[in-house]
Amino acid sequence: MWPGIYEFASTILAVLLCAASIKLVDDYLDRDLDNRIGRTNWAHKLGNSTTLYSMMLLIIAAGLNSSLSLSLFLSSYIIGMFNDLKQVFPSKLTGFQESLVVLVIGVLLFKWDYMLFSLLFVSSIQLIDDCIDYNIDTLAGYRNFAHRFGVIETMLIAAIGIITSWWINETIFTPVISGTIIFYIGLLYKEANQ
Amino acid sequence: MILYLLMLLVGLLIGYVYGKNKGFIIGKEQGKSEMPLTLRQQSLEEGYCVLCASPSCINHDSSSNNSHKKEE
Repeated sequence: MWPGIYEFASTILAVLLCAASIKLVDDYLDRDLDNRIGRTNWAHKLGNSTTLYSMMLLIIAAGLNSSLSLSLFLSSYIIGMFNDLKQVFPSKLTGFQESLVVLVIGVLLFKWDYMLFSLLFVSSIQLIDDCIDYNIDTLAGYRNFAHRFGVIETMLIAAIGIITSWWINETIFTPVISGTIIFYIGLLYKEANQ
Repeated sequence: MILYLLMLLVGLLIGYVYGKNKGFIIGKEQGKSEMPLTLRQQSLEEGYCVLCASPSCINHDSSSNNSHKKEE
């Protein structure tokens, strides 16, 4: 029984740390936009150390469950590219090409079902996040997926993505969704108190 | 069980998107047929055309309508 509990708890912790790492990188990239609209951003507190802390959190998460946390991180990188698919990056590749390369690396390094699970799960979380940020993004003049497709459609697509990821890998779904919910509750609680 | 839930959600999404688009088309048709009457009613109540704000516009319209009735 104890190994089962340890496995469950360590997966939740890995997801929590990985989510925190993604959040820090995202905050670092969006620091100028968040500064303009007055949204709380960890990069304003941590400064240039933001990416360093993010790396540390990801390393610890990888130590706990490497396949899951690294595939989640790579998936969030791919999903993050969706807004700049045609933009050319310092690698001389467009956003689409970069995300394709990252996807191939992810499938080669980790199990394909982990990568597919992560891709579906992260894209669903991104869609839910777009619905939560609907009003803030309207104020910032940024059109996210909820603006393009509608809030109900976006929520339904997100629900389909989450259920599909559950169908692909039932064993890791429960700890991953638990970790994500805990992270979001903590994040919203922290933002509400600021 | 998961598969049934997935099928239910996909069905719900297809139904919602179809219903929304159908509703938009029907609403647009209804608006098209209702708008000229509403504009005409408002113009007659105000005494001037609500689109171009000229009184001659509705007088011309009403006279043309009257002449149209006489022809009938």
